[in-house]
Amino acid sequence: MVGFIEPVGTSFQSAMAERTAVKMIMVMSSDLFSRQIFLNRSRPLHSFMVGWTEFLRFRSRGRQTGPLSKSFVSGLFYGLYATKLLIVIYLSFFDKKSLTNTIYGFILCAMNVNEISPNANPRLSRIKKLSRSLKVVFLFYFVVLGLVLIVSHGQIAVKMPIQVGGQNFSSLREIPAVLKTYEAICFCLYLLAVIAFYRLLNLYEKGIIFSAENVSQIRRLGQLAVFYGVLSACLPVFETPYVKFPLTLPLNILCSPGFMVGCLTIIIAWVMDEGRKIQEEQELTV
Amino acid sequence: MKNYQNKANIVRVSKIIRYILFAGLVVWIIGIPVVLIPIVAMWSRAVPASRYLQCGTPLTMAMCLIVNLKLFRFFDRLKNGHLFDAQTVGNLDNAGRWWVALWFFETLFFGISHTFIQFTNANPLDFGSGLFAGLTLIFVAWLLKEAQELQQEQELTV
Repeated sequence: MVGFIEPVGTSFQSAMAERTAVKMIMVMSSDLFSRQIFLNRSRPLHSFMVGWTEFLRFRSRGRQTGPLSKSFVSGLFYGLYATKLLIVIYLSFFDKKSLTNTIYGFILCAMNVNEISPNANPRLSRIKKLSRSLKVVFLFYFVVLGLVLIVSHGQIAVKMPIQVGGQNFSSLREIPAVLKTYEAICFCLYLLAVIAFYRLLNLYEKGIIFSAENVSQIRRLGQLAVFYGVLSACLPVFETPYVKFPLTLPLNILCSPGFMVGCLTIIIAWVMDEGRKIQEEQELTV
Repeated sequence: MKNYQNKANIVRVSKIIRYILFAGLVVWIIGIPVVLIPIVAMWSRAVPASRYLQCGTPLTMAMCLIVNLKLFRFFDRLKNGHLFDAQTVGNLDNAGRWWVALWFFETLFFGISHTFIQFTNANPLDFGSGLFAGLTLIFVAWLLKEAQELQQEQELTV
């Protein structure tokens, strides 16, 4: 454990102890670190630290060190064996007074205690894992779907009617140019959304949750969904050219699922942007 | 409430979506008794297959109502400016979970009706979007939980 010596009784120490205590209570109340687990894991470390303190005290006074106690050896073994666990447990010590009293004015303190360790955050690792799986599923889905479409186009699609905008056409030539353009735009939007979603998953897989890139990808997804919603609501206008501006069009736009989902996604992008700002501010805090 | 830069935008759009969700809530609240009353009245005369469908419809509607309610509460919190707190995140998480439950129930319900009663009006494969939407909401709730923890940590920083 790399550490530095922190004097007892300073305001810095008391503030940090208080902060750690509050954080520990929050973690324990959120079931991330149960009381039983905490007690079981902290016992060997505590015995190790007590034994180490005794060793240091005798050495500093120029006395011969006595035989190491059983608890010290087991604790030392445990401490050396699980370094990561040691750091986690150290950070979870909210009552540092007992440690301070036994070390005569000094406590050993891990450096960078404010840093959020990726290993210590189970939710982040869960997000990473899920993103990775989603990415694989996503790729598999599109490759399979593409292959199915290509195969079916060669074998079946010639005989089956082509459905565009709720109408059936026997061949591509029968489809009006407006509907063809509509379908082409929809396909482009779909493709762009897929690319944005894939990039987003890629960022989450790397553990980047609150960054400008994430926010921009989410916002792009929302904008594409809104555009798609507006376009699909305007489809009746494309299909029947004599209707210039139906009165129900704004209501159609407002009630279209694409528009609603798009609005929701844009709001989430704004909220994520706030999260990004908080993270940036926290990173800048000394 | 903190003075966020996007606050005005979030509040404005949340207010609009909240109104739409409120309208949906009213529709569900009125719709469930409207569907339920004829079912109760015609219960003794209905055949078993019809009873099955009549029982499932109000249950589906009730689950839709719960999803709608949770989303309404989520946007209500956003409208009030509570972006990263436990209640906001909890509402979104619950909405996602209920949506997944709704998808599961619908798939089961229509799957059974499709297989045993030959009720062909609904294809269970059409409801895959419900699962996707629910999982997406749960995923976003996780991300918001991260932001919530960041904010709590920042508030505790001396």
